[in-house]
Amino acid sequence: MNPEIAAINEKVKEESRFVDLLTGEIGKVIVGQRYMIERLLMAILTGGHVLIEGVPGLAKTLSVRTLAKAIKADFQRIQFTPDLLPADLIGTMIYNQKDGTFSPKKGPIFSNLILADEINRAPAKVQSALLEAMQEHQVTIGDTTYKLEEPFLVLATQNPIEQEGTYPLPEAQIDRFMFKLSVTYPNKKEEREILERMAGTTPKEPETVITPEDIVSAREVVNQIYMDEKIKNYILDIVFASRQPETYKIDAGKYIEYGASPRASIYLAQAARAYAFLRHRGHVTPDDVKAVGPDILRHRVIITYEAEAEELTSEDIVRKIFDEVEVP
Amino acid sequence: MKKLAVMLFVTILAWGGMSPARAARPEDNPDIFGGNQPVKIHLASNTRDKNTSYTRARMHFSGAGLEGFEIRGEGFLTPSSNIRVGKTLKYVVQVSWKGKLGELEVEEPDPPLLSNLRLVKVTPSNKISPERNRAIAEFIYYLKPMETGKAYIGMIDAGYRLRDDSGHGSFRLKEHRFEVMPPKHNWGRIIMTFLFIVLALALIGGLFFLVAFLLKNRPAPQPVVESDTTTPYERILGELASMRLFLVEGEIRDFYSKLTKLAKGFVAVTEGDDVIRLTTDELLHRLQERDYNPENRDRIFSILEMCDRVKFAGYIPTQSENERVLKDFDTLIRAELKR
Repeated sequence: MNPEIAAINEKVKEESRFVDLLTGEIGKVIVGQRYMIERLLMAILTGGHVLIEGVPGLAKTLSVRTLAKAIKADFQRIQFTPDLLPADLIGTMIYNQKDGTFSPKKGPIFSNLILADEINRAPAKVQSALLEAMQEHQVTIGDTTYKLEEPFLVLATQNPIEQEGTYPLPEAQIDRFMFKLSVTYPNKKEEREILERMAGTTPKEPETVITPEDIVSAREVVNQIYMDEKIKNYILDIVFASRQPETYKIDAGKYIEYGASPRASIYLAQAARAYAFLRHRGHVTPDDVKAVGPDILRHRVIITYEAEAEELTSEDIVRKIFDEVEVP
Repeated sequence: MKKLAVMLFVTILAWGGMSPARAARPEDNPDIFGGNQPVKIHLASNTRDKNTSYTRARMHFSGAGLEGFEIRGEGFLTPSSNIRVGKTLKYVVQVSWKGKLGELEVEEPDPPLLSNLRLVKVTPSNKISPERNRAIAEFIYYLKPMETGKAYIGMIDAGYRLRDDSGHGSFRLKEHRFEVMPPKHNWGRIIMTFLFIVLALALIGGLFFLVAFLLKNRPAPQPVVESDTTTPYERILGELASMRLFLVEGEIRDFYSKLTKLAKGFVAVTEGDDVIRLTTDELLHRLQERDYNPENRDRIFSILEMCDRVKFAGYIPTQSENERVLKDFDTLIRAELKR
């Protein structure tokens, strides 16, 4: 094997040991939801953010809180409401009557893990403040700019039902989320286990497995994971097929209003590396790209009215693209 | 009103106009006109019909042997009304008398002056009209109106001779003025023409579609049946043999890329072409679902896994590994061929 790649493989195996411990600890508290937890880990390993669409009661808050405890990180849950102000989120300058000066009062965004619950219930200016912080990893209060602590992960939720009185996120804002997850109900077996775990006893608490510093160093390893030119070309083929499906002989042109943005290519590469890391591999395979692809593309491929009329979702289009584009 | 005014105008012209130009001179021919007795010729009438296309002059002779001899000159249009552009009309000049045809010789008049009319032809004829008991010398001028508006036929001098030049005279028929109307649409003809065009187009269209249909449904050219009846496995085997060239030239990654396609092609023979677009893990999962021959499945998976390592993990296989992969695949194909 190429010595450099062999070294990366060894490094990944070494650094990714915590993954099994971490998922094991989270699994003590959360039943099922492996898919969501994996994506949360991938987001935290790549510095991305996650938008979750799912009905209430699917352990979204519990998952993030458990993850925060397991990695010994700060966690804040912010309930987005129509009367929320940007200052409620990022903080403001407070006047001190004693010495007649203003001092900053940092908002709840100064935390490692943020759960922005029902993000579409807050007005656009609040959403905008949050999304700016997500992009820049810094916040300005008064004249001072504050760096947000790493790791910084925002997990925003949207309720797919009850759209009345909401402020839907524009496509440009949604594009800033690395993943858009669609969380579903647990199966019967999992739900039975939930029942048994919650029956009268005190819920288990996860133990701290790693620190935020470990996450930051793991990020560096993730970035070093080997990605062959063939895989890079495959990622580009996928993204370009979402823009020009005819070029790839995919019969979906009339269903696609806008294809995926260049952010999709970047996130696909990052997420595929993180996925390989979670599997203790120092190189990326097409399976990694296929595994993370739908979560990265489903909110970036905007469908046409024709697609809606035929009851097709962006999920269907993305699946078709992955089915049709040739694997290297 | 306009028509009435035109009629009134033409009637006034006719009333003032028509007269015999010259009388016969019976004194020059005493045999016919009864020796030296004076011959009196008088204009019996000079009329124009209300029908403006008709002028008539009648001349009476009185003298020895010529009492009751009468020559009548007439000029009329046919049709007399509704004269339209492009529709040929006839201007008939008749000289008639009571008696035999041979008694009077009528000279062909000079063609009249024409305006907005074109002379097509002139037809002279002589005939006897039994009902009128008259001999008739007739000249028919076929005329074609050229454009809408006023038209004009000038005066005509119709000369005649009595028996072997024993006397002669002439009539002057007055000029004619009339309106030429625009051409009348012949709807029947238009509809027939239209139907004919539609029919012709339909026929052409029908022929076109027939030809297109025949071309489309013509039997596809029969592919040349190759005498070489190689099976897919044999073809894969042949390609595999040619792949050694990659190894010789040190193109290891190209070798394994090609090997991946061949291995997936091998599975596609029985599992369908869509397996070509599956990843190694997906393919394994598919084969497990479909109860694919476990021995073959494991061999295929082993080969594809090796291919993936080389293609995606930067693995550099040894020569013996390359040979082993080739041999494994070769054995696999040959085993299938025997079946």
